[in-house]
Amino acid sequence: MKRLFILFIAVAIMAVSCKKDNNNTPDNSLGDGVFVLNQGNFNSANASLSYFKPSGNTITNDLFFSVNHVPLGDVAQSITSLGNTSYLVVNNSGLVYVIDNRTAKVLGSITGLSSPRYMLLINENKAYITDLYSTGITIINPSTYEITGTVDVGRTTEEIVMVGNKAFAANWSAFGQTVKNNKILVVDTQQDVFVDSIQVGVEPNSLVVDKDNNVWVLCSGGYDNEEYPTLWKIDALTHQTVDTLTFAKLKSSPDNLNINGTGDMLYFLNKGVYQFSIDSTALPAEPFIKEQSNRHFSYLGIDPVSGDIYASDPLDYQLNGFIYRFKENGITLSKNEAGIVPGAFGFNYH
Amino acid sequence: MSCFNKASGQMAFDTLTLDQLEIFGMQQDQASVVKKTTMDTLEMKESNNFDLAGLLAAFSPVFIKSYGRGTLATASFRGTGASHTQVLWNGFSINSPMLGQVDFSQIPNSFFNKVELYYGGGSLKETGGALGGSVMLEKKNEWTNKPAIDFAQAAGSFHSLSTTAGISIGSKKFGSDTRIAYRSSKNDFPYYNTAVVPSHEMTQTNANIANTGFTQQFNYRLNRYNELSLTTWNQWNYQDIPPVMTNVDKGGGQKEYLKNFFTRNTIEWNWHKNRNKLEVRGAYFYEDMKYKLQNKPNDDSTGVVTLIDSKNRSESFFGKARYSREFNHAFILVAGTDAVFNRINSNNYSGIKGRNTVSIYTDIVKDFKKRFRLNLLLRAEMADGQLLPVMPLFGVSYRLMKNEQFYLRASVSRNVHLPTLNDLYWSPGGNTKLIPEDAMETGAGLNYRKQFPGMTLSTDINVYASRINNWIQWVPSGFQYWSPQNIAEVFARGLEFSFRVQGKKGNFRYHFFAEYAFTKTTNESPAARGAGYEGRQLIYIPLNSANSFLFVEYKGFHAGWTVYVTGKRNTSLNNEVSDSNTLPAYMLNNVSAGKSWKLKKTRFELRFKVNNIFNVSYQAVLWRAMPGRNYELSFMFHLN
Repeated sequence: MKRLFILFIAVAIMAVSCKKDNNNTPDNSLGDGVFVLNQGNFNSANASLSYFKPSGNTITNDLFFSVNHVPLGDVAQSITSLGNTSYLVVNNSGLVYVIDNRTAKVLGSITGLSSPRYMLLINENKAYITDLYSTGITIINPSTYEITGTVDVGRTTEEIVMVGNKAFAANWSAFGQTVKNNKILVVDTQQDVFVDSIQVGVEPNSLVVDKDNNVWVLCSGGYDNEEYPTLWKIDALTHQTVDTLTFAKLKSSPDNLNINGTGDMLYFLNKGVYQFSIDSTALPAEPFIKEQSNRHFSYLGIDPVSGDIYASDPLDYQLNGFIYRFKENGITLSKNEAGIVPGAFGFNYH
Repeated sequence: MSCFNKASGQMAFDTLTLDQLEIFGMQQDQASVVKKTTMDTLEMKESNNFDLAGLLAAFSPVFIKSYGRGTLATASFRGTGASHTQVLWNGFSINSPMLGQVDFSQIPNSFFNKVELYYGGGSLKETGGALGGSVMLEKKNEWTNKPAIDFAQAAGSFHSLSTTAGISIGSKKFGSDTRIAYRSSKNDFPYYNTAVVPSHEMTQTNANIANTGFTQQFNYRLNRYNELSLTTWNQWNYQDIPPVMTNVDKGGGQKEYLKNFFTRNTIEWNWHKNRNKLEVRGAYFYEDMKYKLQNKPNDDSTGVVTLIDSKNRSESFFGKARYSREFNHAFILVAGTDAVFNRINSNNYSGIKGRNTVSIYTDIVKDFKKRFRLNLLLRAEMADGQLLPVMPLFGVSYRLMKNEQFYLRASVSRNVHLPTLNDLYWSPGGNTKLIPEDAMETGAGLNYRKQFPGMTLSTDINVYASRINNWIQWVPSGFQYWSPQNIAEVFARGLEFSFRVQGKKGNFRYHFFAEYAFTKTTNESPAARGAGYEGRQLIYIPLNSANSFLFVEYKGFHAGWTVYVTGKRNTSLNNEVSDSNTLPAYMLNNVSAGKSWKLKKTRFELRFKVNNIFNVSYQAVLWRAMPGRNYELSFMFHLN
């Protein structure tokens, strides 16, 4: 009995000391890598966060749950990072989780949003959040996680970019609106007022800014292929269209317009990864990275430092999908299983 | 009737009146070649008045997938999908022609006094397309001149109220039965939300439900041979859709709800003479279903923007005729035809859509030496002019011991299920090229029943296997929407075991029921094999489930105890099993206690029920809040 008691004490001490060790989490346990937001299925609350490390081609799935013991939420839409902080926009949960991007630990959350989609950081105290249900862009304070106001733009908004003191937001969805969804809405980021709208093609789904401060807008033409898909180049100063390139096939839906770190090469998806130099005058006819019978791309990300191309394959949208990494020249570097519907990529360098 | 006929309920309908015929039909269950169960009246009483889902969850192996208290509950038999469960009211399908399924949370139990379940291929006796099984609902007329009045009032936790009342009057020639049911609940139950940071105690929001309905049935016996009946069932339902646990901090004042009204009307003429019976029935169903998702356009706004305004109206016309003839005491021939015309006016379809189906069937039952039965059924169906594969059912049953009610049964069948109208016409994505889902099913069982003085026990064990090809799944299309395809090949197999004992000793009465189901259901398609999940259990179907019920009564005092055990369920098909893609098993206990009094012709009863007495925190569907311990007090009276 006495011996048993001693053993018990020994085990107890060990347990306590072990626990202490676990609490000593290093400050930068994640290291350099890529956050992968797995969207999950709408109304299923099965979004998750994965972390991919290109150095060893390893991936950690379910990171958010294992660190914070709560699910990421319902449809993880986008990620925006600043310094050691990342903002994870969880669309159908109506919130943004703020995490420490060294540990993935939740620092706080911005709640009370309708259907947030993308976040644009304007400065340390101001950020805009676009919304699929609300006709206002929400203004928040990214340091205090508070909602500070709204910019009424009259339409719902999707992807958003900034050039100088102007934000350009795409009116992607026709959901709940009677007018055509073919505008880019311009907001003065100092006054927080809606100043102009620029007509583009139907359903502008993604936009980027190139090195010359032109805004490139990719329009799918509508989910029912109402018109030919188009790629627009817009002068950010004058809001004038510099160039419009029309896709050859009516029944195609190009999306996921991305740009490399140097701002001179565009990438997009259209049943394969396409590459397009900002100086080109014609759209590429063939994909730069082809799809295969068992490989279909759904989301795209370009590492701003290494130039690596990341594409996700959601398979049947119910199983864990895959993320592919390609070299700038199109050579496959890795393929890893992520979560359900891998979507947005967040590049995390320290 | 011979001694044997009495014992086993064999065929003999020359001398019986129509209502007796029905009773005879129920007794026949044991010798049936397919599995069929009838809900016990005592067990029906133990369940909530407004919850067919609860009744099936407690007293059948049917798996109920509930999205929350009082909200959407679908039923699946034997590892199949919700649309593979057909619910027939007076013989007519009440499945939504658009969705193909039934919300079992919206059906008042008090409207029926007969609930029967057919499992697997056995459902072909009443309908095609029920690949999993079918639930038959009916209110039998008693043909009595004694009037009866029922009333029940219940009040429960979370601002829940329910009232049901019924009045039956009539004679040997005429019957009128009127029933009303009302239920409402705020469903504002507290729960601990572990899906947000920080986790905290909160109250369920946007979860109101309200249902009001009534039925009226007239039965008229014209003469010895002819009966007429007219029935109507009308109901108004309102159902808020509560947010998923991760979505409780959403802004925009979002409001999501379902609202529907339906009227279901049937007319029936039965003729019976000597050994012939003819039933002719017609029905008209109308349903208006609205789904709304509303939001404030921005925080300052007082206005509301309707983001989704789904308006769906469906009309169904049915015609049915069935002729049965008994040639001698051991041979019955049934032949029938069913016709259904559906018309849908929905803003989710482009234009008015519909479907016409006509089917014919014949069912032959032949007994040999009073022990061996052969049953052959053939059903042919045509949908919009296209002939479907013939659906046959072949079965045998054998009485294993001459002096014991101990039967062996086995059957094999083919059954096809048409795509739902949403599968065909939903815009966008609907796929008009879909072909019907095609099932090959086989089952076998042993059934034993023994009567002792003051006690009856029965037990049933059943195994089954079915292969469903061309199983329809919505998958991403090449465009920006999903579209259904005939891609899955599902292999569902399992075992069902049930045991029931009831008896009486002096003033003491008892009833015990226990059931276990093992359900293995997997997708074995080339696509599933390619993705490596071919052996993985389909989502939300537990491998193991069990329930039991104990009821005791002594001099008017009674107590009931119901236990439900739901095994672990997958929430995704990923092979990597983790906490995030499985839901843990749970066990729920409900107890009730009450007292009944008899005062001349009136019986009063007071009952107190505690649901989830151990306050178990559980999820039936991933991150959908479920209530903890809750109470219900009810008062009933019955006069006749």
